[in-house]
Amino acid sequence: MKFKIILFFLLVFAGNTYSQRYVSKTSHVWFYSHTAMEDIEAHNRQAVSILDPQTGDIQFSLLVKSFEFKVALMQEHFNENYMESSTFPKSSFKGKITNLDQIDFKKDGSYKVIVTGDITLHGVTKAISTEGTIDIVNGKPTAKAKFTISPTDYNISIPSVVENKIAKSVEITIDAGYESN
Amino acid sequence: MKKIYKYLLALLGIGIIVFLITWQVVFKKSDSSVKNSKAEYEIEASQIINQFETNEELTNNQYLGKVIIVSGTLESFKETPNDISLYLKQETDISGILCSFDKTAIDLSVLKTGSPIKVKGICTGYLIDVVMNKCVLEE
Repeated sequence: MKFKIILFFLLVFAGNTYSQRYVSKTSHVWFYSHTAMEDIEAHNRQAVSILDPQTGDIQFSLLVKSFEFKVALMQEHFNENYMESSTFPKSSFKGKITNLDQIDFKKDGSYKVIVTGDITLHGVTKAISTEGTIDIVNGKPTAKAKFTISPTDYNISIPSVVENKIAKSVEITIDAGYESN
Repeated sequence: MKKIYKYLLALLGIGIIVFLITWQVVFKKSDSSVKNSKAEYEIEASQIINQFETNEELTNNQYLGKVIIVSGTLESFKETPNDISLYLKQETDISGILCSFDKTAIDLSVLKTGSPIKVKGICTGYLIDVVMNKCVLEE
């Protein structure tokens, strides 16, 4: 796996000398499921993200076991029964900002972005497109987005006994504060 | 008649106790469990990083979801509104150990960057660093 590390640092540091990439190692990703029976949320504050302001490439990678629930038993079920995190320990997103020309990374402000790409979750990859914002404060960008996914699209089977407690579509929120590299 | 009331009261009492124990054991099993549980592995930061770099799948099988103690050098720490992150890294390593603490689980005034440190937590895997959460400091 040394190759992966080297590849990561090549991605971050290499390219032309003019190119500057932003990295976040403590991105916050959380999900919220609402039904009449129960509200469930879990937070992951250790997701990694790389944003390239020159190409608009944006990537996220996270460890499924890093999601924290209020109730330990829920966390156990999430990992063992639904996400099978021992078999599929990571989830990722690989995409592009499609309206890059409307963002000036050198100028503080709040910019609307459109991102399209692929989510890989539970071993299944699906295309997704969502709107979000990039806020630039003191030259540092923070990316935020909110979108929904359906567990069944990713072959996550919910037993009928808890069907009423888990929403058909789960809301995902992203909040990544970047440092320049 | 009075006897029945007594029995009912006793039954209710037992019911409440059983409920409270179940609630505590099943639902509230949380962060304190890391502090009180015995670590399955105690390892140097460089060593566990090397293991993940060499064979991630095998190392996942060994550590994922387990309570471990990692010793290393504190490179930096960061406080967010929700948690505190410590970053352990040796100068010679490319990767490090990213440890997430609950805000109440750590006193920032005891932290000194560049000092040796021991952290106990649940290993959740490896991205560009080894990631641990629900961490506590080990003496």
